[in-house]
Amino acid sequence: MHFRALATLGERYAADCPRRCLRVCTAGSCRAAGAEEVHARLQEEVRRRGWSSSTEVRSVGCIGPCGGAAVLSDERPDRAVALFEHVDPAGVGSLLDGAATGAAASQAVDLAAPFFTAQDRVVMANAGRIDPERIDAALAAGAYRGLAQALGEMSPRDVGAEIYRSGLRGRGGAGFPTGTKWTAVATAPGLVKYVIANGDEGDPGTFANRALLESDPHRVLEGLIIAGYAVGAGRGYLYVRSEYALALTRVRRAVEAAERVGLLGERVLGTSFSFRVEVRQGAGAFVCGEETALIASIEGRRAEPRPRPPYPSEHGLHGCPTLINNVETLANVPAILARGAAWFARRGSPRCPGTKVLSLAGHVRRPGVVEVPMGLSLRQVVMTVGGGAPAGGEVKAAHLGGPAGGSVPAALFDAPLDYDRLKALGAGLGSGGITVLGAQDSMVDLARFFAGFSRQESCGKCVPCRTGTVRMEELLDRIRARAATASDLELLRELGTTLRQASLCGLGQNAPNPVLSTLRFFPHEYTSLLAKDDAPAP
Amino acid sequence: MPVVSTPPSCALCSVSELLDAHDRRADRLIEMLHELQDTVGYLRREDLLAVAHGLGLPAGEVLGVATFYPHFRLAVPPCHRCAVCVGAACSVHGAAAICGALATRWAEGSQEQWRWEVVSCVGACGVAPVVLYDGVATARQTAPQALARVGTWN
Repeated sequence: MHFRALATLGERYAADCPRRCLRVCTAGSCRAAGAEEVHARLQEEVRRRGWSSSTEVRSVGCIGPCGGAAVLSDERPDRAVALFEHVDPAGVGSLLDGAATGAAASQAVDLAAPFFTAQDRVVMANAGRIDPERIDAALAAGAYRGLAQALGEMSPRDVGAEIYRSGLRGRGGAGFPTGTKWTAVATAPGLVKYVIANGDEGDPGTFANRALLESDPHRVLEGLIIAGYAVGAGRGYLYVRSEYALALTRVRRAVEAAERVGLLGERVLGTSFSFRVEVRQGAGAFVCGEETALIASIEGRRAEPRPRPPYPSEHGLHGCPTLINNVETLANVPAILARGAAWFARRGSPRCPGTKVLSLAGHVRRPGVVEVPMGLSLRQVVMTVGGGAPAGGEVKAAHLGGPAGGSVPAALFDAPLDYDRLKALGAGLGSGGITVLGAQDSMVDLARFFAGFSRQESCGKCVPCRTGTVRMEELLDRIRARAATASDLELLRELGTTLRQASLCGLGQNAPNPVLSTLRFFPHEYTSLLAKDDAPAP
Repeated sequence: MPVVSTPPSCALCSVSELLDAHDRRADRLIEMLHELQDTVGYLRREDLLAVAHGLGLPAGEVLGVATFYPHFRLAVPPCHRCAVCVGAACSVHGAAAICGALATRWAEGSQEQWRWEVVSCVGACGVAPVVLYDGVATARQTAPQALARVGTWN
């Protein structure tokens, strides 16, 4: 099918949409708060009131303010969009009555709050708006225009050059320039090449990739197809962790729908380019986020990483050149192709163009998923967008990047969202998770939490990581039991340095980060726990 | 409670269908293990051996994969499972108290009916702490709520 014919699918869908649209987020946190039942009750209410011809009840992905789950938006032509939170199935009827009279104000969310106005949605443009399980809805919202542009007007080399010009950097955490990676795979010798979308987001406290996959799977898929075209791959893999069951369902539906309309398979959109995608399900191993471990897992083996080089760009899946990008990185690609590298590069900071999807959780007034320009300061993200601590609380620090990241104290919140600047602070962005810590939270406990996580998730292949993470956890437990001495703190630092230098892969190399960063910024929390007779002189 | 197990011959024929559905591709091993566990509830030893045989892999390699990934179970699961998310946000919001309450209740109760366990972050951090009852994530849980829920399983 050519793109023109495909676009009419979207137009037909848009023409059939009723004027009023009640959107219920049925993803992530909302699902855990009973959103599916809210959706079913809303449909019932709309039918009962005889509104069916004028009102659609739509199941959508992440609207954003997850702390208020379940969230419902009410959009109609004659008035401003209204957003309601803490919607429960039993209260749906009275909410509909209240929405008409203004009596539902207590559940209304202020859309003029910075949580919404500070956002710039590129990757999440359709999230919370379209039904993620309908390809015609995605098409109506502009999906696959970037692919049509790439296949219709550009050579694979042009596509790579456009991504290079955009300045896009990897959104999985490392911030490696995406264009450089694509060029390496495109120019690597070999007839068979692969592309892989890494959706193995496993950082505890992080749900940015989950929100993306559950809200707009077609955007990720479109990015993957474009990547395949640019690097000369005929096959792609979409790897999603097994804990994200809904993301898996929605991604699989997206792939099936794309196959049906000729966006995947032989002769994509009537061109000579052929491309197939397989969805692969993780099985609970965090180490699969590491690219060589991910490849081993897709090959059906134990997910044990191997030393690099050779990098996957030369020797990847089944020994062939392989491109691995995080799902959010790929989700940026369609817009760059459809609207141009210059359009993309205008947002964010010069060294880190574009936006970043963040998930805010912990002691913050407004937990949820936001997409903000790169370069925004942590203060703006945590205190303004997130609203700071809940009433009566005080923000002490923000932990970024999960078990591979670090904690930034509130005094240093001027730091911008920027891979290099955050790295200098001993933190990283990871896939975008920010856990906010309050005055009552112990940083030693937090470090112990992540150390325990890394110990459990260590694959056991290399000695530094396998035994180092165990020793790190033991030392932290000794400190928490007030049985440690000052020399134990020294040992902890030394152990961290060893792990960083000697571990085989990113899991072990970065496992000490939460410990080292809390030791650096919150040393008093450690020293105050030292055994009495060993405490430093006052 | 004795475990009623299907004779190996029958396990083999269903495994054979499974292998064919995946074109007997060894790279799809993890997908096959998912399907087996989703159907049977856990991974039976005879099925794993049949998969190894069908793919031409050493049994140790298939068992090695099955034991490497935490998602796979090699024993009969309990009737009900209560899984406490211990991600960063849930931990900050008191997952440990829920774990403690469940551990105490489990130790004193009828242990065949249910088990409790911890799971890695399930990505519903906006409504932490989250507990999964028989796999269904439930928002903003407290220790008394969790105890009340598992109480219905006894």
